[in-house]
Amino acid sequence: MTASHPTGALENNMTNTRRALDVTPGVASAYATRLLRDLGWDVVKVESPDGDPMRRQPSRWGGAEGAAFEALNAGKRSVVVDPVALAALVEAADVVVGDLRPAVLRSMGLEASAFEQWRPGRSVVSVSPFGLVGPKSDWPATELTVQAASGLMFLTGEADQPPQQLAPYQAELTGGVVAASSALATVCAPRQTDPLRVDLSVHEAMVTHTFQATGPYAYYGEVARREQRIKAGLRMVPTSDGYVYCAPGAVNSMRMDGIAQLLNEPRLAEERFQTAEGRMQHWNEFFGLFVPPFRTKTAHEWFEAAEAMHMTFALVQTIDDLFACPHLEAREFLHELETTSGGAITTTLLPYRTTSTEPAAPRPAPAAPGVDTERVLSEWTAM
Amino acid sequence: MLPDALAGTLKGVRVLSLEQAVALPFATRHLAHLGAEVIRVQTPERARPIEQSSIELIRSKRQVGINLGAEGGPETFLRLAAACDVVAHNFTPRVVRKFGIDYEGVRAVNEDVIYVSLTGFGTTGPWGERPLFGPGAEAVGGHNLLIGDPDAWPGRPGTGVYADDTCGLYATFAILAALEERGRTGAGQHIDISLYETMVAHLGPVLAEQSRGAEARRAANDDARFAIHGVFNARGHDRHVAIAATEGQLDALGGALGVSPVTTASVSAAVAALDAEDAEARLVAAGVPASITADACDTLTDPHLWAHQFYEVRRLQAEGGATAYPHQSAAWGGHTDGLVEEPRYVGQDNEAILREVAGCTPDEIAGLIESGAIGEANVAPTGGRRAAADHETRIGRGELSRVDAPMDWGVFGDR
Repeated sequence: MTASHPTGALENNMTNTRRALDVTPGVASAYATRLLRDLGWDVVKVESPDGDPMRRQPSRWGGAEGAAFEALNAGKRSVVVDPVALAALVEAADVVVGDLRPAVLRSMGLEASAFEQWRPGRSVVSVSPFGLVGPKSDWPATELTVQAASGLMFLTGEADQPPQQLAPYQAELTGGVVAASSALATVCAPRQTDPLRVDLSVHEAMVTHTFQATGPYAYYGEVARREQRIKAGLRMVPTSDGYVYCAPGAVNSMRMDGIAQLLNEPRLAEERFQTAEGRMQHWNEFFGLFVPPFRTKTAHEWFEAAEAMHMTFALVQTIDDLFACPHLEAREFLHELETTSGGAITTTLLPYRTTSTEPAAPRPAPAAPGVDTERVLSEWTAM
Repeated sequence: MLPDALAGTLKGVRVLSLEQAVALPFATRHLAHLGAEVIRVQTPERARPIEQSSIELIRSKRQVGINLGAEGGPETFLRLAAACDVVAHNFTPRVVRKFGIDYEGVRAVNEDVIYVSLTGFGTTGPWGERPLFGPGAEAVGGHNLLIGDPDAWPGRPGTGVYADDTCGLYATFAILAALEERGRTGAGQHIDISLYETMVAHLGPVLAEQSRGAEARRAANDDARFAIHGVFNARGHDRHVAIAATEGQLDALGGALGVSPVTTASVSAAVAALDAEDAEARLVAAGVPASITADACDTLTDPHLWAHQFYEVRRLQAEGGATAYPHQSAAWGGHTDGLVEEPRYVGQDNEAILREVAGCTPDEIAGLIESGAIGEANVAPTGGRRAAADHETRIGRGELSRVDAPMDWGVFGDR
């Protein structure tokens, strides 16, 4: 494979010459290649002639346009190609990423095992709900059912509720981060004669989060469940204008002396309230002393007051709060991106700061399926 | 085609990690899984016992105990840092500045270093010096107001380590990206990564939808893009099935459960009369996305995960080698063969590492022990049990769903 990137690379804001080809629809592979795009890679998205179904997806809350396609494909180019041209693009790529389940490949007009013959420069990375092998590999799956199967949902929600889903897209985005890391690992490794073939499971990426629950089962047979009394407990309480997160994590071992001082409620310093066990036993009294005082100030006021006493509180923010956050603004973390489908969206670039590269202005997602076909074929191949 | 393809991809990369809690240990454990040599630095005085819950975070790493507050401590850290590709910490910016081991300090002895600051809010900006823990990061990062009932108090991800793990995975990505870049350009960099910003980034499509007029909010288990979307109680205690069906899948759903018309109410009634396993099997066979909301027993005995070798059974010396326990793989799954080493205690590898990595002579090492710059601490496990009420009380309060008899994990394979 010879790489030559004349003017295209500069025009498209690419800071290196790595190429990734995203061959299927799907949030996980789209996010993986979006992260690579943010590193300056040249990322090409293969679409069917009628386009990635995500282009037509409404908001998951209803009543508004969706924007996931715009967010996950910012800066990529789109091609619509026949199998011959696809094979040429695969050869020219460093990494091919996609949900390579047989059914997905067939929906793209490809043979189920097409990818086995693909020979990009470095690797083929598949990221699918349950991976390509094993008893669940062909299970129908969505974000919700993968979250459910991972064990995380069983632990999420209130004790008296059925399990609750996490924030939207969490499983698929996690799979995307892992897929992007896998792609990078194959590029860091010494070059092989044959491309590395990686089969990732979004499900497994999420199960990894559950080690604090699976450990106690493995060792003691304990089946942990949704946390008891977190609403009324020490995690988040209502203030005069929203919630404040008031526990530094380890609820079980936390003493109340500091809180007693902060809330000006000396009774909370009584010995019987100093352990989780004691608080459980004297729950109603504890609740009555602990919760009402928080209503006397705003969340921001409590956040600052706690900080002054070296207690680690946190604001409980809405998405609009994030948009207005002075800290994110000072760090130039959020960016406005004009889209080709109408209006601007707010997006992040790399999820960290580095001395290596200044964040480049984000670029819109491809306006329509195949808008870059000719250009990409001429830059990447001899076609 | 197994993820083992990734094993050894970071062979030859050496990482020095001044780490605590979960986020950075989770990242460096993934680097170790890729074949990097990870040296975990801790303060001997602050050593904690190796518990069951920490094994997943510290295995496959060698351990050095350095007292940064003692004479010669920071110098010892810098001697090691000079010989490493990646130097990382997850303390506040103030702490590393105080000991002269911030980016500037390390760069002075290792110009091309990839230096990672993993902090609560990042090293700059108005909140840059504030501490933050993972669960607080989920709240401030926008997640908690997207979980649970719209009319209730906010929810939170059901593990104490969601933000930590997630930030750790992004840190792994950032370090790999830096290694890739250094491979091309020869230059190192300072990676400034935070719990807060990675939580925000992990809502990317949500931010985009909100900026286009959506009203992002807690929606319990709803999703407007589906016809049936929810979690349904099945027969038995604390058993549930998650179902997500589009309009086009409603006939299949109705057929699988024998209900017509297909409504949330009719599906609820049908699932309530079935074992969760039965409902799941019927729906999946009909092509309807569905899954039991797996508990710890379901995941640890999932034939699919064992077929992927996601778990591996090990007898750990820390437990006297008497009982076999399953240990999990990296986030990308696959074999853990040869990668799961016994967890080692703080400072267990002092001498070998100072000799091999820093080039210290035996006399120098003796001097460092003498001055207290290095030390070790082998704190016995306390059995891993929290001070908690007995099982019956905890089940009664709803803290535990149930307690099963100890399982012989050896049936899943033993080594």
